[in-house]
Amino acid sequence: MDEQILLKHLHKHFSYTCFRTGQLEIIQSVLEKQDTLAILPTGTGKSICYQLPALIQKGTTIIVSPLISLMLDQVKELKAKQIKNVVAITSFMNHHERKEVFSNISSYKMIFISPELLQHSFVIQKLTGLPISLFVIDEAHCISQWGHAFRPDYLRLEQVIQALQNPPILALSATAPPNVQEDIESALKRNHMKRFIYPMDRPNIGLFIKKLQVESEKNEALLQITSQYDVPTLIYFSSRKQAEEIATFLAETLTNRRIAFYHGEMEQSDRITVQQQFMNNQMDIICCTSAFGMGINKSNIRLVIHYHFPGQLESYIQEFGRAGRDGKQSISVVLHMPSDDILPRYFVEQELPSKEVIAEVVHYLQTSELQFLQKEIVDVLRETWTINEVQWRFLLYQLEIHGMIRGNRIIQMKDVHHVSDSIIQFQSNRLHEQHKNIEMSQKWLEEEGCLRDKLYSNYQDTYTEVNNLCCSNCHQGLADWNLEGVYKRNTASQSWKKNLQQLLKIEG
Amino acid sequence: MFTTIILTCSKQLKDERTDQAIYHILQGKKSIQTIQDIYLYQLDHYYKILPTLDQNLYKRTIQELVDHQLMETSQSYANSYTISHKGIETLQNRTLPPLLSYVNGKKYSMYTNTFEKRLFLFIQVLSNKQSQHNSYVPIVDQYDIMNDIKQLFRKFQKNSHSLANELYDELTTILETIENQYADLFISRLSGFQHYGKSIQQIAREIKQTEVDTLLIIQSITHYILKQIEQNKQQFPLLDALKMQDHLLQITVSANKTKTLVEQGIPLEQISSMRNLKMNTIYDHIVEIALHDDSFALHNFIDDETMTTILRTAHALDTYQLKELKEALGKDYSYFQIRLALARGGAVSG
Repeated sequence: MDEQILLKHLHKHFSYTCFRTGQLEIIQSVLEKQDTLAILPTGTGKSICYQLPALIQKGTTIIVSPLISLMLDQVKELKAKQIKNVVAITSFMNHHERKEVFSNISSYKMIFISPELLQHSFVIQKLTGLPISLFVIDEAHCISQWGHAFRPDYLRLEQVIQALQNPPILALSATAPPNVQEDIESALKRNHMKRFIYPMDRPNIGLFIKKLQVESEKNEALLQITSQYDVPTLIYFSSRKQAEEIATFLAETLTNRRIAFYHGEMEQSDRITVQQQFMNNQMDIICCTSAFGMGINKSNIRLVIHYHFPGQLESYIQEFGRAGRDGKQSISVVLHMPSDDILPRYFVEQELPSKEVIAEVVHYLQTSELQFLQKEIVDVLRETWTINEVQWRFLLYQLEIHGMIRGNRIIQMKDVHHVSDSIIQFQSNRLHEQHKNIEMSQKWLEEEGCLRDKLYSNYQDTYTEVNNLCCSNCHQGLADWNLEGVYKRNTASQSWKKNLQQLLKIEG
Repeated sequence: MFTTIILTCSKQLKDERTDQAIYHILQGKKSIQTIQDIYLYQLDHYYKILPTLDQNLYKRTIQELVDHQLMETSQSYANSYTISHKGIETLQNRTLPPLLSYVNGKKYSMYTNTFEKRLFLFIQVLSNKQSQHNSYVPIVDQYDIMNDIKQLFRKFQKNSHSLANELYDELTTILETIENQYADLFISRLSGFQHYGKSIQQIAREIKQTEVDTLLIIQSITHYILKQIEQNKQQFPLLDALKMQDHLLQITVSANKTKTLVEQGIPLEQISSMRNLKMNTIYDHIVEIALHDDSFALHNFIDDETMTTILRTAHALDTYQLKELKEALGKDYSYFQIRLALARGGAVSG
């Protein structure tokens, strides 16, 4: 479709007057019904790439997304833009809501759905009746076993797409190095996807590593940086508890600043509150885990601090990339000490069942004479061997691809040892890969050359060179940052009546 | 506040129930036993005042009270604690903030949550309308609540300016009669145009209280507001409209259908055959409705005298076991009547 016409559509639906990098090319490819693989850095408007085609084309667009909160955010944002015929089908819907959605299923232009729900034949049956114009796989790196957020259910999407009569595919990701891109194509059995790969370096963000020896120094450094720069700030933690503790610590010390914490264990309403307050500049500093950020569209975040470094560079790139979306100078600061790899290593071990558990579960299922894997049995299994949710999903998927479980039937195998050996092999490869990622991160943190150069050379051939505020190896010290404060804070307290009047926009 | 309430409950229960009964009362368990207990021990105002109370937090708090010797091992139950002598003494010197006296769980807990959600959403919508802004994320995303608010706007048929003024007058009339700090707190929870209200955690931190005590304060404020509305509906037409009962949300869809039919005066036998459901299922529905909805009239199913006899017997035998009661009462009393009496009765039994 012609650029001018597309621009008109863009303006009509989203009130934007121009496309951002990559959007036009990707949208045109999608509209030409080509299978498309697009790698666009965070915050560059990935969602427009399917939302606009969804609104222009006849039929329904299905969007698979890994996080329920992400889907709900998208739907809310669309509805806020007066695009109402969109829905997120989630496992949290009650029977009644779901029934209502499915009875009106053809009225939706966009259906957001989790990969888990797409495994239900009932859901597939409801969707097959629809004219599907586009099948979108958001966060497509989840499909790759080597990606940092591997999701077994993503691997099953290929069958789903087949069952839906092979609509055109758009696979989107912010971080997918070449080996992951290969994985995406092969898992989807599409050899000729049109690829649009955009560089993910962010020249307006300076990369600073502050090297420290002990945890208490982190708190001091944190306090020093945050008190010096009064700007919208995100501080990332790997531990929920510490995010809460440091938020309290900062709030007690920086009394003029509005500080909150955010993590996945909070009530949804509390999470929305914090998110929205941050968006509306009612919050200055958020101490958060990786649960924060996906789908957040705040353009004036100036400072992203990593109190803990994530288990892989891709996550780091995504997280600090939430700074400076408006293009203005922003800073990423990593507080680093040598023992920092303990946490990510622990989390990696938590993600996979141990070799012993794998062998014992396989053995048990083969000798127990059980015919079906009912929920009660799963509960007992998980309790007996203390298998957490993530580990169980891994195990179940492995059992399925090895043919030991079909639907919920347990299939008797001739060579049980082969099955457990093969799963254990896979487990140890994956573990090895994850530890390698952690080592890569550690290596980068200890790097002496240009941090920007070393960070991006894994992913792309070139990057925009930065003269001013490149990184802490190219520039000494933190003192020469000049970060623009962006809003006036109104902390003067006034009477509740005044507040209520303001809220309701009436004269006192 | 929380510990004072636990101690008060424990004192009233006189070690005749396990400490778990207190949790059930505060959290608002919908069982015949709990409903009976609140009347029997005059704890009905504390019923369901902490619907989100976490079992672990409760257990921890009990342990702390034990550590401070305010509670001690129960004489009657294994693994249970009851108020100690020191606890009773301490309780005499403790007072709850006057505001807490407005808390009335049995009466208002069925309105509280939904009333707050409706009011908060109503204000957010109104505030955005006033700013001619219609692109925002609603603070409540429950379909039924959003639908209620849509219908309310349709029903009032007024422009947002006069609605805003009327709501302001109604709210200030009530809030002016409580302490300033509480009015402040209530208003700080509201969201509107480019403004998001504070969460419980945030308020707790600000007023330097625990979250559970903050929840208690918030419940009291809302119960106070509900009481004012109830006492003077004409003065608060907007707030009264927002205070629709939400028990319908709590009973099952099927029981609700039965309720609608009962309210149209259709006999239970006929409902049973109309809906192609067993008589026992219909009985279950009636008991479920009776448990949830105090205003649901029972006189068609059970007369006062029968009810009183059943409750007296239950009290005398100190049992809620249906089988035991049925044996004691004999064939003139049906299981259905016994269940109904237990579901509703309470207060008469003392």
